[in-house]
Amino acid sequence: MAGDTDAAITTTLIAAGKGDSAAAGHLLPLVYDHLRKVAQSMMAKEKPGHTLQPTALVHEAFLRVIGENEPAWEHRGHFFTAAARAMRRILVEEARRRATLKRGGDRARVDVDVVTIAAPRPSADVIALEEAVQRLEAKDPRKGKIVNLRYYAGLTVDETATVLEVSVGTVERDWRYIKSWISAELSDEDSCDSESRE
Amino acid sequence: MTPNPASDPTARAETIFHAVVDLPTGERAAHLDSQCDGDGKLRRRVERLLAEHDRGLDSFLENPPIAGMAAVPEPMPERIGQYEVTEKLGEGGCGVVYLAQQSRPVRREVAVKVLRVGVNTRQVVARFEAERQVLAMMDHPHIATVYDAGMTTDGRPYFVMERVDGVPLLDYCQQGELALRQRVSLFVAVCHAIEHAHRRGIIHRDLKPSNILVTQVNDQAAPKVIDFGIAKAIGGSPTEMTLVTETGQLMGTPQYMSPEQCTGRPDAVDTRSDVYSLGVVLYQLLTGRLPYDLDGTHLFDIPRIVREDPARRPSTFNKLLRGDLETVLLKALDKDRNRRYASVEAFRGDLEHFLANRPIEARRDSPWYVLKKTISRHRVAAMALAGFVLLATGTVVGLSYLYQQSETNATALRESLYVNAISNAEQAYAAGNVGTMKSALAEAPVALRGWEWHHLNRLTDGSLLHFPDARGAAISPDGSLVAATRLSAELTSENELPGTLTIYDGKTGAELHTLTTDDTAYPVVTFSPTGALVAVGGIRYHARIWDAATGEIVLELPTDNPSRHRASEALAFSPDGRLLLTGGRPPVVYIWEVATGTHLAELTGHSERVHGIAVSRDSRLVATSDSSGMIRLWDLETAELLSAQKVHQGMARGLNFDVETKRLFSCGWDRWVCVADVESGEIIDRWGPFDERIDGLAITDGGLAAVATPARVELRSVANGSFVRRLIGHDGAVSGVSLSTDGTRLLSHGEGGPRVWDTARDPTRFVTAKHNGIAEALACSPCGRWIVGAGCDKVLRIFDAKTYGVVSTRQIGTSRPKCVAFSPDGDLLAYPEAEGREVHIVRVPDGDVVTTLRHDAYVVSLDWSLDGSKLAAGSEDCRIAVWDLGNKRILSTVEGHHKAALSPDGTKLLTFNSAPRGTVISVAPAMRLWDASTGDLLRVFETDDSKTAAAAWTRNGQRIVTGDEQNRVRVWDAEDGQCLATLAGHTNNVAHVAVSPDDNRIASASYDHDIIVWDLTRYRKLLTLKGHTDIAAKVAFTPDGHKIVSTSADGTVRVWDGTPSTDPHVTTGSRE
Repeated sequence: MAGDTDAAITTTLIAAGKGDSAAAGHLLPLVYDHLRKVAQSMMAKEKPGHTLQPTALVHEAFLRVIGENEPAWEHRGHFFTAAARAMRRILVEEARRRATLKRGGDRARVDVDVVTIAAPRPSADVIALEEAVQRLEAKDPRKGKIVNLRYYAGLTVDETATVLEVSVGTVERDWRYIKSWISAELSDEDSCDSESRE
Repeated sequence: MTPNPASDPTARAETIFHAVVDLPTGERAAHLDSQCDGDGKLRRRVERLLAEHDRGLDSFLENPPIAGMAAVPEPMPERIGQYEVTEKLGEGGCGVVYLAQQSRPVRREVAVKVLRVGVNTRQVVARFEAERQVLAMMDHPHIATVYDAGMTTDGRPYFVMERVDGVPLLDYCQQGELALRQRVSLFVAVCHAIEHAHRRGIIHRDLKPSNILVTQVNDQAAPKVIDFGIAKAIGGSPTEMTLVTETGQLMGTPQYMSPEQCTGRPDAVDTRSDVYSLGVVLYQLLTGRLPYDLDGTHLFDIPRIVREDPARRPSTFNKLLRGDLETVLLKALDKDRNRRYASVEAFRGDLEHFLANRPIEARRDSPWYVLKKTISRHRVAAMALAGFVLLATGTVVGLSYLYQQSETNATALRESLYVNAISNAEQAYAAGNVGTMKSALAEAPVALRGWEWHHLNRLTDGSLLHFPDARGAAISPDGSLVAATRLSAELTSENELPGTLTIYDGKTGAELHTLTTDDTAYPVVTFSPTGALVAVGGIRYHARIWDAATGEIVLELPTDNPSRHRASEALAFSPDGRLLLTGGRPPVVYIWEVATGTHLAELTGHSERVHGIAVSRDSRLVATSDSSGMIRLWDLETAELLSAQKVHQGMARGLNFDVETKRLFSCGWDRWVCVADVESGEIIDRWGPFDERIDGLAITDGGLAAVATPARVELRSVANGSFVRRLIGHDGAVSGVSLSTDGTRLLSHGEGGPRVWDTARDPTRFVTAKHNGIAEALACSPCGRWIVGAGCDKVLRIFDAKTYGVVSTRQIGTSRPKCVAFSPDGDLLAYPEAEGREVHIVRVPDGDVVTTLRHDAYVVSLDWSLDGSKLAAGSEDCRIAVWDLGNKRILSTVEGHHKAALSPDGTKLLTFNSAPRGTVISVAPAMRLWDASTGDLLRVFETDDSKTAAAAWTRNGQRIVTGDEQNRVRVWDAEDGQCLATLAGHTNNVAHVAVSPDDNRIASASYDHDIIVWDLTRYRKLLTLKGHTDIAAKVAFTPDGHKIVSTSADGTVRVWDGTPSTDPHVTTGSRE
């Protein structure tokens, strides 16, 4: 039978789907935990050096939670959004923690390691990226959602389009622009459109 | 939302980008020439995007970080709190469990459960603290003790529990191949443990096989129930209930959850929910399956199945269960908890009967009952079927009865939705969650919205002023002005996205000047120390300064190197107003002379963006903070760096010097407010950690601090950081705060626009005036203009019901005035004078005495009939006189009670007892109804032995509402004297009751300090008003029914506002 975690996610997803923001907050650790477990078990099976397909990962986690019977994109939408939020939050917190350690912060020892992700980019960039994504979200919520689903939740263009109920072409087009825009924002030169900065 | 390409340069750049990106590199230039039409800035922007596109073919964004998640296993911590971790015991969805060593006060092995990120640690730990005493009452060999709770250094909550070396119940039974009777015996032991907890008012709420471990003690199997961490005392306060709900959502396991838990109604959970969960556990123990077929079920459907589907017969899986055990199991699993075993004890009793081969108590469902259940489960189909059956037998009446039933069900559903929504909103308010509160209120059916809804709706925004579409804002030092920037949607010739700066009147919210800028409306705004100037940070300008009074530009500080200057993120005037300091990106602080605009100096050496600047009061020192958490001190005169210290982990902001330049306050994304000694640089105080990063901090010389995190704005004491109160109203992330110098006004800004607050005003606890001692006498004038209160200080105070200001005070000659009464038109007021032996009737508000009535004993109650014709006065010696106010003669005198309530038409007099404490009077407690004119006894209300403290008639004269000393509010039929309803909710004597003018609501005041609002037609508790800190003595509705006024032994008169407001969240300007 399904484990307790799955069940907890389910209850929470239902509550989150009804707009309970406290429940949405609870999703984060649960979804994250799931993703990590799935990733670990898949890693154990893979040969060293093999790169995990993120889409496979997030789907495996989803299937374990929800089951295969129903397409239920509405639920998938909740799940993937939650997964993206979890990833984002964890990445930023992890980056901050690393920055602390690197700078020889006042905390000599970290008691419990919250998350250990091989961060894809240096911690400073993760925070800069977070800020850039926030600006993008403020400017154009749809593009923000696309980054969340594509990058943080690892969905494909098609899946992103389905979750957002827009055409694949729209996502492709937006995505191409988003990539350039974010790269420009992250480079040290003058911002592309700095007035969006809060 | 897609930006309008015509008006937004960013959107235009995007359009052009898409148009040219697929062209060969050589052809792009020509297209750019034509599309950008000479706009160099636009062209540079597009070229940048194209360059990034060409360069970033394998952008890092194509490699989601999820792929890297598995790379490193989570390491085990060495210590958690004072506990030395030795090994990891297990990992679940909500956390990790470690085995650890405790050395003080005793050396023992413990299990430490650390919850994952994403929970509100402070709430969790606070909940445990609230629970600790209750949990400590449990002492049972089959219950694992929870010793302690705390927070790890990285802010996660942990629980320390008795270490149980056992296996989960199901595994134990399977591995040991236990026989049926052995399994039942083991389960009976579990029941004993739960009964022990239930007797102490603790419900487990999350019983499941994995929470029941079996250990071997002297070769005997001994079960241990773990995780009593989410248990809560039955009937806990609403706050506690909220927390339980949250945990329930976190920990709940739908397979084992009772149907009432699956409805998501936390208040519906009681000990019978545990009976149900135990039933599922036993079912699984005996059949190896769950009561419902969940294979292949979408997990979202489980709660519905649990609520609706019947449990499968256990004998289907195990023939041995046929008969009594099956009956017992199905009774424990009944959807209707009233048909379930009423207690674990009864459940366990039947299992013991089974083990002893005695007959069990539970009875199988009768065929009729099964049919009824089927009908209610399949209402539509059954209705058709029933219709057929009934028509066939000629019973048409029966059919319409069925229809009525379903209509009633719909009404009942709406009503329970409403009660649920109100209760959710009440809980969200207690938790400070405005978003949840608003969504809960939105769910309440419109037709049922009453006083409590409007009251809660008002509480969703406690601010004085709100500027919905503005970005950054500041309040002037004297609080008289507010400056706010907003982005303009209009396109200007410069092709910029321009904005406006608006100056508002800080009291009324009226717009004074709106100034268009040719720079982006940057959200960094500050007033000069005198409030005469407003400075706004920018991109094309380091800053621009306006005259706040005239709206004229005073000074512009354009950037000479626009590509280098990206934005001013921080601004500060020197306290003498002579200098302006700006800083941001690049990480340099520029010092300007305000009078001339001269660039005097630069503070260089920052490595990251500058986010905070503060100048000491003597204009000697400058403090700056940056995004790495460094705080630097500089000499303002020489621009020399004096010290640099890493105070925060991550972004540091909110710099404030105290008035003596002894302490420097700062806040940061590490969730701390730090107080540093300016001289030594030492951190001398820290407040926190807060739940989230801190983005804003402001302090006043008077010792008030305002702290803003995305989720909250809080007032604290500067002296020690102690919590003063929370300002509720923002439903989006808050990003900054400013305070007026005197601390009376606070401005907070962020998502959803800036708000101005009265720091002294708490919208729920509006204290009109402090009486010296308890104000036992209270009345609201029927005209709605006055509230009157009188207390032990021998002063009668008349308040203006709109402004709450004192209109007049009157010294009176009665040391403990217990009553006042307004005439129905509100022009006259009656109160006891001359130590209660006279009743004076005076004109309101001037106080001219109109009439003096004599009563020869101390008057303790007064009641004016609604038609104005009669006044009843009850005395301490239990005599009640009724005057005809036309001729000032006593119509009748009745004996036996202190207090009286005249019927609205003045014809009947209800009298009831309420002996002051310490007096011995032997009269019957029963209420009596008299003919007010003749004094003939009409009826006696049988009120058992409890004394009725208060009574009120409904306007229509049909009902009487009473409050008694057994904590009850009761509703009576005035005609036949029957008690229609007994409302339970208060936990101490009910002191007073009031009925709303529309006869729909009751308000009751109690010794438990609370006011409870009840539904008078449906007899339900709706809302508890918490705020009084001592006995609530009197309560009244204002004549329009919009406000509830209460007095208390805490000396205050409080007004609870439930005035309907169309939509308070979008108005600009004052709401009062």
